[in-house]
Amino acid sequence: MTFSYSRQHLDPGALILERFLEIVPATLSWSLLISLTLLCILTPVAGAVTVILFDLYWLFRLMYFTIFLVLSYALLEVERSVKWRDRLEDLLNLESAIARSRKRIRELRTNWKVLYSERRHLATLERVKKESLRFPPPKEIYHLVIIPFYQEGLSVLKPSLEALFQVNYPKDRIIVVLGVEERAGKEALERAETLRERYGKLFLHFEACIHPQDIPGEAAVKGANSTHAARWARKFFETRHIPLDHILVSCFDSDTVVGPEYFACLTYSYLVHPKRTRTSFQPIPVYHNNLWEVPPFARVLETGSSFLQLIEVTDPEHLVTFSSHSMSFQALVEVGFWPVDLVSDDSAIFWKAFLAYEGDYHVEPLYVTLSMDVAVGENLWETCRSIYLQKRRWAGGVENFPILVRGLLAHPRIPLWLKIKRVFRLLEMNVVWAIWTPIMLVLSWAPALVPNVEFSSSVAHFNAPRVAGVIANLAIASLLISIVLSFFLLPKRPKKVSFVQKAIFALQWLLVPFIATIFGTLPAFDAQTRLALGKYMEFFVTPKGKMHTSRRPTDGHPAS
Amino acid sequence: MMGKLRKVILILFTGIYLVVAPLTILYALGYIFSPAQQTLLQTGLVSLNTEPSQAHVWVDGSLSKDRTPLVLRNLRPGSYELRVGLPGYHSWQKRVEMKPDKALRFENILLFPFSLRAQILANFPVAKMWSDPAGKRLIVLEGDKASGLTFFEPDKREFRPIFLPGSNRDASVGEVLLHPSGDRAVVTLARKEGLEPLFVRFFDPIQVRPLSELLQEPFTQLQWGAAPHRSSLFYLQGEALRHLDLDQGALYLNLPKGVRGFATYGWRFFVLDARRRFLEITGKGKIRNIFLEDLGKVRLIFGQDEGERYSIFFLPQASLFSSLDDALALFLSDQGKLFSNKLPYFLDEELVGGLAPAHSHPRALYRKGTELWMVDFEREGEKTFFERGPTPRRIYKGKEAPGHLIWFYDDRYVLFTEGNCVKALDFEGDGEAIELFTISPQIPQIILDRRRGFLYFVHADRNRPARVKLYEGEGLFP
Repeated sequence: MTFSYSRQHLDPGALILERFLEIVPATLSWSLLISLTLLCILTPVAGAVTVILFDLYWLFRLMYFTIFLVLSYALLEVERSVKWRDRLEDLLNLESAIARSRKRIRELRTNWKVLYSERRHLATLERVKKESLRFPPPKEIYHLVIIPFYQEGLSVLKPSLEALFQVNYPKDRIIVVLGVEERAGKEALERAETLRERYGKLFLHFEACIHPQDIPGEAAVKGANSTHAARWARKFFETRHIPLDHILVSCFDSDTVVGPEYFACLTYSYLVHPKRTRTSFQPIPVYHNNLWEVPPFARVLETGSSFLQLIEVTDPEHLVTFSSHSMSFQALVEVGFWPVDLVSDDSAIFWKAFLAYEGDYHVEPLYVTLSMDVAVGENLWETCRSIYLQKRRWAGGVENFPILVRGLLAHPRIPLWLKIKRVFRLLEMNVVWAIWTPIMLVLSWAPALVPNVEFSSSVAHFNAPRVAGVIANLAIASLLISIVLSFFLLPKRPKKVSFVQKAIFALQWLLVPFIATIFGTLPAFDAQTRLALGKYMEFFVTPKGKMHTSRRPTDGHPAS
Repeated sequence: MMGKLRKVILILFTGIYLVVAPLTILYALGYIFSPAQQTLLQTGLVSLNTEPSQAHVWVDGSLSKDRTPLVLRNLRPGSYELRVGLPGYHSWQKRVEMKPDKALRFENILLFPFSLRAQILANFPVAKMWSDPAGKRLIVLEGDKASGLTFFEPDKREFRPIFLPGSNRDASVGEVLLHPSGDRAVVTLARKEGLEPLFVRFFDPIQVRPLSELLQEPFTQLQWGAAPHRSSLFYLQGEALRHLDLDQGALYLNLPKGVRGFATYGWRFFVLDARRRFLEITGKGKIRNIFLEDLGKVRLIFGQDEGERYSIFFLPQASLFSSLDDALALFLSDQGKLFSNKLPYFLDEELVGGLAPAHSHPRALYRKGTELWMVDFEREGEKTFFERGPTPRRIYKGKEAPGHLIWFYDDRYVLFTEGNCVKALDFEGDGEAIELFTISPQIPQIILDRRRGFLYFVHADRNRPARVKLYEGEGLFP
């Protein structure tokens, strides 16, 4: 079955369906918000009841998320000190590795973190043995790292490549491909050349692959550049007769700083996975590269983004790839690479694979972090603008909804329940993203503020805001847990940042309502409305790298 | 493992949500479980707020553990006796009828101390007092000559003369009309040569301008326009209405004749003319017939006696969204009949006097003999098939005719004089007026500075000007 994961070259019927589906998310978000507002004004009792139901739903969702945020953080902490190369060694001789692991568990009675990690490793070894899982030797696994860039400077690119060089993994198994945009001009080509001169001989191969501009059917999006680089890499591997299932491709943002254990952990997870070529591997993105040098709201916002990803990875059943991640090169080739006309290439590649393998494609979380830049600008206003545009691009992932639904209709072999679950989840996530803040912050109190004489002399007029207040307080309790965790997750405090400044960081969480509205609700509505109106977004290069002096090749973890 | 855990917790949370959500909704709607009746019962609540706060509250004699401000929740349908008390203050009480889902609000309960301490403001005897409607500026007259005319400055707590020493020495003071803004007035002096109106602006120094050139003809019913920053005077010359613009120094004569009553409201003014039309007249002199919904009825109201004159009052809008066409006007005839421009038109026809419209609610107070009556358009009366509208109700019966009716404290309370006694009445309370203090029997006049909460009066002791503080909270109810 051939299905085009693109909105181009569709037959008239599919085009009409696609346009209709593009309108659905915005219509749903706007109509929910408007109808709820009207309900609060016209029939305040019904409005108050609906708002309470939503507030409670949100509170439970928040508490539920907080539980998994804590668990996810605990797992991250557990896996932090693991030497993944040793574990790769264990895969070579399962029998003796299992025996060694059992012995270590017997000896490790007090250090719960190491003990738990060891138990997980032992369980994996035993499963691999029990299932007689066949996998290539670790030394035969190659890592293709694609770094597409546009106008980012050397100050952004160098730390990323430096970090690649510092990884605890054989460099002769790493191929780095810089995706250089031709439309970025001569300067970008010169930057690529500078980097090749410096890093060219440090890896198995280093290639600066120039992505020509104006290729028919392509939009000015990152996925087009990545795809061009991946096509080049395919030829590279084919000429060297390296099997595609022996290659893992990692598509990184230009500011992605990998930790030393990333590739070892990725290789281990890939080899022990029963469906390794039908799986993407998702690390946890943190925004620590310049965290101490950005305005407070940006710090809170990006810490929140990291938290969201920490929560997401605890749900592999619904996990979708996000930002920098890795996958089997074989799968990438089989599904036809990244979409070349969508802005959300990170999530789109998952949905593309999901459809191509008729629902049999998954995401495996990796409990290692990748550190990236917080978007910054020349001044506060420019920073706000950059972050807003970045969040709008993230919210632009809603563009996958119409293509996914069209794809699911074209794939009758995908179980109906799975179709409903995936579509509902994608739609719900985007709609709630847009509407939760106005409902929680404004509409929760609206019935009490509406000048309705009849309602103002009803019990609900007094009790509804009280209920909203209790819910808000409980939500703040969840927020407190986030504040505490954020301290643990923060990168090492630079000397010039005082303890008081770090303490002030806790207070900055009070900005959450403001931040959630400006950088959550508005970009989501913006992205959905643009999609509904057919004003498709192209890639916006987020200005990054205001500071890079404190960047270091680290996994961004405080203690690393 | 994490996936399984997520499922378990998701199911658990969904289960809790399905239980908690209906319970929360029931709570928000005031439902409680009645073990005796083995059923859910919808309750009501009472919201109480007092000035001063921290007052004790008794419900059917039992003391509530919280103090004001408080909300008494989960009150089953039935009758309750509420009492609010604070040591040193008169208690407030009321019997309320609680209905399911009903929230009764008593949010501006003012507790009056047993003894109010009067401040004597000056040592001279007062012959007469004037003020603007909000009590921003107080003008008092000592003796009857213009030299005894002073105004009070609350911040400095002193009286300052309006006229320079020596000027207008032999003139006696006729009438003083303060502008609603309180920063200007028309003072009419009576000289041997005749009446001399003066325009006074309370600048520093005070500006006094004679109006004789503009206001040459004899006038009655002098009235300021309601626009706060304009100096527009209206008056009747015989049956013709005149408009005198003091800012422009212009007199407009081309206004309707045969005026039976007029009023100002916002930027415009309104006239009830001899042809029984109620006219709105804009600043540009444009005239339009407005308001009256049922012309037949209007003729019936205003057409009975050609010679009848009316005082016209506007009540505050009932809703933020009301337009001028929805404005409520009350007409009080010189025969003591009270009508409105909205249903039910006929309000009272029995020798009504002393009409006092409220400041921020569509309600008004009037006197009938020794009784006080109220008409409240916010709380409509019985709705019938034919008519809906408020029914006037008696809220107080005294021994003497009440005078000087003043609404205050968000129009919840009424101050009035009865003989030389100042009384306060909460029209939502139990109907008992609280006797506050006594004033000069010769000058039984009271003036309330609504913003600051001071009540000005003439003290019984040597008729000296005095004041008491009735409530705190500057600017609470401007």
